[in-house]
Amino acid sequence: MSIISDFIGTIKLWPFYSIAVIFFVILISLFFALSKRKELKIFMIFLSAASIIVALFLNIFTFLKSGIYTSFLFSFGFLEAIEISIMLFSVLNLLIFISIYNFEKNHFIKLLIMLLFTAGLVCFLALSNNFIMTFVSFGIFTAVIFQLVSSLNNDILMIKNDLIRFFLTAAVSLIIIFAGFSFIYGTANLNDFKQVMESDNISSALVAIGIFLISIGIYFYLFIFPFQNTYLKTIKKSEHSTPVIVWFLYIPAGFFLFFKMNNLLFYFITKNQPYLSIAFIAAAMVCILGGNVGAIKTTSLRRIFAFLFMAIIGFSILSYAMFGLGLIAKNRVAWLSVFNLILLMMTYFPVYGIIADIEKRSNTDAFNNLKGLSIKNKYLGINLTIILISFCGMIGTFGYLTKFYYFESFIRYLKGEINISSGLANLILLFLILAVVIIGTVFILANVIRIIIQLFKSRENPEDYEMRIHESEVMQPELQSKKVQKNNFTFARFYYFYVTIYTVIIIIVGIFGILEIFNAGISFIPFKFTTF
Amino acid sequence: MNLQIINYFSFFLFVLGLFGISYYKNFLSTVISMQIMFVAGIINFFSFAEFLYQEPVWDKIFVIFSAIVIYLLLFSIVFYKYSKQNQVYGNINNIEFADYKLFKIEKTDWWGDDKIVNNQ
Repeated sequence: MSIISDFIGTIKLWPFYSIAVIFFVILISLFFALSKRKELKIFMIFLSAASIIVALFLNIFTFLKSGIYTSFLFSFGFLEAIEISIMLFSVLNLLIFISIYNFEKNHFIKLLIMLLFTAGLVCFLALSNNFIMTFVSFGIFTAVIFQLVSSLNNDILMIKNDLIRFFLTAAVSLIIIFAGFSFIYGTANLNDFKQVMESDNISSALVAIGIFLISIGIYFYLFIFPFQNTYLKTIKKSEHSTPVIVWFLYIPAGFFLFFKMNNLLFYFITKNQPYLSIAFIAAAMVCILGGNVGAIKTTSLRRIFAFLFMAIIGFSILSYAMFGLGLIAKNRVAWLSVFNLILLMMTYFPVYGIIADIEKRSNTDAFNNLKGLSIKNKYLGINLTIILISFCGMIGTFGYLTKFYYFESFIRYLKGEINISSGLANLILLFLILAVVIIGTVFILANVIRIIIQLFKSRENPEDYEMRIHESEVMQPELQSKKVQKNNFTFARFYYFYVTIYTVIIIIVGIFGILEIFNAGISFIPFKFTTF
Repeated sequence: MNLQIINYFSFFLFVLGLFGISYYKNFLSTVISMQIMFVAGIINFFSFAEFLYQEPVWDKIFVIFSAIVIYLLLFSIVFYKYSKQNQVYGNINNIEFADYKLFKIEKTDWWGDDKIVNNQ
């Protein structure tokens, strides 16, 4: 045993081992790419899942064993390890969605190869330090995502125009980011964000213009309000696994690029307070209010969740404004952004899994699809209720941790533990942020209650069934040959297992989080949930 | 020719491209506007390298790799639009005159349900 531990101790662990595992499996998969045999498809699913799990393990083990790694092109620290872990976990879930809804397709193995390729590229993006490496990995990642999404939707004529617009917007954002880098280069031949921070020219107008352009590029890339048109149409019209790919592969990549500029943003926010705080508050307010109002007024389940996703992104943007005012510290901003993303994953993967299955059978994503789910299928109904309650921040659940820290800063301010800069402008901004947080939380609660009530409503009556048939004929005329099935709310056993895992994680993390908040001291866990 | 004039010119090109992608519905007009914006960025890189730094190489490497990446994505999109190999080729007239305006604001993006019509 000591020989093994000595041997492990001599191995130099590099953060690229996880990427190497994924690309090795891609290389093997290339030999089977053209196969349509069912046995090979199943083998490829297990091989891909195994590679992602091994990559995830190697990522965490590398960080724990070797610590921080920095070079000219790459850097690997705590935040990068978290980002890679989140994305690999997300890709594992996306593998499940793609396998369920695309297994019968002739190019299924090619889809898996593209998915693994995006996983490797997003790891490169998270690790990249140099501007060239960052931009190239981000650009190629966007191109491969386009390949994946267009291949998934190759039999849906309705979405072609919207997919082209979606990725043309992504290409525009890439070009704007490129222009931003050109201005930063013009300052002092700087090659990465750390050099910019340490440079004497950090206050230069060229750096400010560069950061501004890169932020605008990412703003377009994420389809944040008021540019959400293409995003909503793509989510609405696409096949079943595309929305989760957009939500948990495409959009997080934009956030990871944004996180690379965090230190610079904090510097400029501190220097240009309150103007930048106002800009962040305005963007957050439009996202939170627009997302929630849009969700409450629609009867399409996909649009509801697409809007709510944007609302949570608005909360992440709001955390930068709160930093500007001095309400929260820098590491809390990163923590809130990451945990908002994890909250979305914890909620959307199980809930959308159920919704997509119902949608596949009923041929429509009408809100009425959920009617009576909790009555007919009590186990899933209760699980979904817990997950949705967590989403709106109920105490004892995962979602409570993120909501808590938005309100906790105001409570500490009222107690006098936090001091913000004096002045009427700052006071107005403080109340504005508080109002946005309260209104946003209430709206999300209203949206979630609306969904939960629908789950517990009595079973579908004949008029609702006829309405769903009519909606199916209007929304997807080319699928009229498929019969709309009545909801019987029976699911494969896998869905029960899948949803249960998420419910258990949500409750356990919620309980541990509350114990940490009250300083109850959980000694057997070597890390904290509530801080970085 | 000094650096300031060159930067004004690249700024003009950038704004022209931005106007193009915001205004035009036609696919080719949008792609051409994107090229103009990209050229503005390249002019920035080369002008800063020429006037400010001695024997710069980094900017050339950045531009080459960025061009490869951006044109890889654009080529994929153009190929997807015009290719007959996938099943969504559809009616060429319908697709040629389809609306590819990138930044639209519709009432349904903020309120109510979306009425889905083919290629809209």
